[in-house]
Amino acid sequence: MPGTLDMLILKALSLAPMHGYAIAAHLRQVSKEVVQVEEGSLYPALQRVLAKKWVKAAWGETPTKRKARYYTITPAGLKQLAGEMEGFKRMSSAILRVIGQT
Amino acid sequence: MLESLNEFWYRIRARFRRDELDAELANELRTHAEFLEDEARATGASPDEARRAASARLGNMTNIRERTRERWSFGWAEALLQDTRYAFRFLRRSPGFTAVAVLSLALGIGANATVFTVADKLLFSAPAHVANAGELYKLNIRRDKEGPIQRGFYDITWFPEYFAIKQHATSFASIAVYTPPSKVRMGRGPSVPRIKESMVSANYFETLGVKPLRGRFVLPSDEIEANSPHAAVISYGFWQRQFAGADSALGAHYNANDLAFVVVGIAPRDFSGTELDAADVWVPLGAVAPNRIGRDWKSWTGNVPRVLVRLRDGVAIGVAEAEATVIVRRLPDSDGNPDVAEKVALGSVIAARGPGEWRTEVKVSTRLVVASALVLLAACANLANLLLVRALTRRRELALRLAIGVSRGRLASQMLLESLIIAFGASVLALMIARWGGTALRTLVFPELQWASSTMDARVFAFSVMCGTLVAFVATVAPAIRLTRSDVASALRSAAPQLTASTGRLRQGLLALQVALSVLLIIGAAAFSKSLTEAYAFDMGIDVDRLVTARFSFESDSLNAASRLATLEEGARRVRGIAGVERVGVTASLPLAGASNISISIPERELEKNIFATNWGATPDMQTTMGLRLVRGRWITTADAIPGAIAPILISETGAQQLWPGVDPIGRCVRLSKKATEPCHVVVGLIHDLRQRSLHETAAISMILGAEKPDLGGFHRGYVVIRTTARASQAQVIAAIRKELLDLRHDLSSLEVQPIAKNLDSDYRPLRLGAVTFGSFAFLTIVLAAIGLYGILAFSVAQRTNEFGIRSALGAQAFDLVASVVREGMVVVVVGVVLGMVLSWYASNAIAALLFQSSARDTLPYVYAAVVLGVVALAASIVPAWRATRVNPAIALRAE
Repeated sequence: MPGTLDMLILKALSLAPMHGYAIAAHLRQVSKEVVQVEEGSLYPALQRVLAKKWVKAAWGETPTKRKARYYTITPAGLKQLAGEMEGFKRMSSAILRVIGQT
Repeated sequence: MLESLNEFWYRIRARFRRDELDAELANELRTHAEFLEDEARATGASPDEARRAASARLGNMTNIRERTRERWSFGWAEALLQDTRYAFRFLRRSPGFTAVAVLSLALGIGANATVFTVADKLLFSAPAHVANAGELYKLNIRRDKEGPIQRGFYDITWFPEYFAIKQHATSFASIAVYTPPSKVRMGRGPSVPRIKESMVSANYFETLGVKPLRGRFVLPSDEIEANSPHAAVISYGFWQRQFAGADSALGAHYNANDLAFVVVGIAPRDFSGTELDAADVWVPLGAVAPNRIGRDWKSWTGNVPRVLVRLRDGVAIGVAEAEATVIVRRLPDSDGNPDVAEKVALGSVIAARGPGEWRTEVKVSTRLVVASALVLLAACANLANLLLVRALTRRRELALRLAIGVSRGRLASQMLLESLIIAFGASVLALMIARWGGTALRTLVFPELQWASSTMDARVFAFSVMCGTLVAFVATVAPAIRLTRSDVASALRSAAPQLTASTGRLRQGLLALQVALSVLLIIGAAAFSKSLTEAYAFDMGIDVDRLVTARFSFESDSLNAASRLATLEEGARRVRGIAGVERVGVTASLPLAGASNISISIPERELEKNIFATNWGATPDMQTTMGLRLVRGRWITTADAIPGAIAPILISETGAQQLWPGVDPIGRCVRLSKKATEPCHVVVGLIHDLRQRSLHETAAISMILGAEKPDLGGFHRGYVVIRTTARASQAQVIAAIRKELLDLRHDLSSLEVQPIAKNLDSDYRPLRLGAVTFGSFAFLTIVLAAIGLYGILAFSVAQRTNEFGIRSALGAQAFDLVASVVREGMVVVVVGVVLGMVLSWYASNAIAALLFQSSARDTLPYVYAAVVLGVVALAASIVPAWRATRVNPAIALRAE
């Protein structure tokens, strides 16, 4: 579904600031290996949310002393996330109702 | 909305820090790869394996970066920018092609923009500053009256008609009258400047809906004759010239032809009413007319006033016209002629859109619009041809780009972009051409007109750019279509570009079209030049080249006929002694200077309709002074001028033919009236036809009466006619005459000394205009055709290098090679010439009405056009042909 990846990224970042790899790893872990985010989709998506000012980015250091770019969600991003989650829940429950009928 | 705005800014910022972003992304991805390596190692892989796993996982790094970068760019806009840059680079790389393309197109567009500067004002654009010009109408009246003057609608309303309509008509919301600008002397003395004065009714500016730039316009309270000084509104141009644009102009005083004026207002820039000719000052009609026209100006039926009206809401044009027609017909007729049945029509205020017959200048202008469009067509064909050649020489480059995945659409849009850039450059250049050409053309078409607006305005600019864009699109069609059909594989394989049969024919077709257009324009130009030669050589019945006239105009109510004659004779006496003057005479009217008609009758029979004749009431000496041509019979001598006797008469050939068909006119007699009681003048000689004012008029009956003294009748003017010696310089004689006559009399309101041929200027001008413009347009198209032909041949020679190499290796002579190149071009030229001749034959009617005693179907111009194009074609073939002979067989064959 379009926009879903953006929502997942925002959801992940709403927990804590993360770098790209951490976001991918987090999504994989939480979804029990179901959500496999391709790097080829992740980084364009990050640029997209960055451009929309839903997240901010800053260079920082990882606990393992690596330089990494950390993404932090902005208030606008939180608002967007809430809206999208609402919409998504409505949509998915609707879909569930439809497929549950058969 | 906010997000998309954010994104937009992000992209804008990204454009300027692309390298930085790129480096950042690379860093980020590297970190990512390191994490992946860590991950792999954690599951027990070796460092090497881990690195491989990481890069496999990350996939194509470049691809990720490409896709990420898309977020930074603008998509199509970015592509457009890139294409533009590419197109510029391409055009810079081939400066020769670019220069030829831009220049040739600039000439084509320039010709059109030049014509547009004049045609727009005549045919399309509403007068400046006039509100709702579409709802403003000019009264046109047709007076169906027999005589040599053409029938038809004229935009002239006589004062009595104006006053009657103003008083009785209910259809009009407002009705204003004005007189077109005429010259008045500013200040006193013999050499004071002349300014152009237009008399207007008090509601003139209000009817036009124009607002003053400074001060006020004329008010009803200004229309009082007793006022002094009178109110005057000055034009923007006059304000700049005379007062250097100073505010002190308001309230300034000046004198013009004995009346005092005070400036009360300034009209906006470029305002010239509904006339093309710009007035310097507008003055209140009611206050000034008694002086300028005469006490009885309200009943004057001179062909001067123009009337503008706006309709009352809801009144249909037809209704208003019918009402005005009825009112005008009710008026008692000025000359008591019962045949007059006027008809009023409301016409547009745009110069050429009235119901009346178009002025010759307008007619010529419409032909020029067509002729210049032909030049544009030729320029378009030329550009298409050049682009086709480019496309062929770039064949491999284009094929390569297709092969690496650039879409055909993108390539085609790139080609269009190149054409558009060329066209835009050409448009700008064309504006410079039009700026110069427009001024020249305006002077050529309307030499006496002082234009209110400059040649350059937004409309001309828009027109040029529009022409350019149109040409770019049309000219790109052929190469673009060709591109979509091209076969990538064969294009890449072949060493030299091959001229395929289909594009070869297309290009030859385009060239043939250019040649045909050249032929069309050459034949047009030749027809006009022939007309001009015929017009110059036309026998007007007098020695046009030898005659100079000094026209005396007297103040309207100053002197009686006898003292006016005395003044004229005094003038004649003074100029008699000037070097270069052969004979001098005095008369009230003479051929080409205009005359009025009289009704005549003969004793033999009742004349079936009103036959009008001109009596040139001249003294016997005028026969030799004017150089009349005696066909038969004898001259009138001084011996005939016996006081009290009935004077003998000379009659024109046409007159004799009309009055006594097939009978010897000598000895018959004519009455200068319809009344049988009037004396009958005996015809003693037959003379060549004379003309009242124009080459084009059908010769009416002319009579020369052997009067003892010149009959000045009720005229307020008279002529001193000077016959110069064959060798004299007219300019010098005229200067000397002016000097002699300057201080003659102070009650002369004007004195004009000019060659009598000047009266024919308005006849010569359209012909000259046609010859000059058709000639220069023909020249342009010939140059374009030569460029086109050269292009085709040069390309063909380059392409046939192998063939020429082999042929010269086999022993072909240089002549054979040259002949084969020339033949190739000549075939196309011959086809084009024939096509052009056929077109000209069928198009000849379009200019037939403007020509004089010649036709666009005369044989000579056709031969001429063929010869010119043959020579040009040969010249354009020389260089390519020479190149063919220089092919070195060894090199040519090695290239294979």
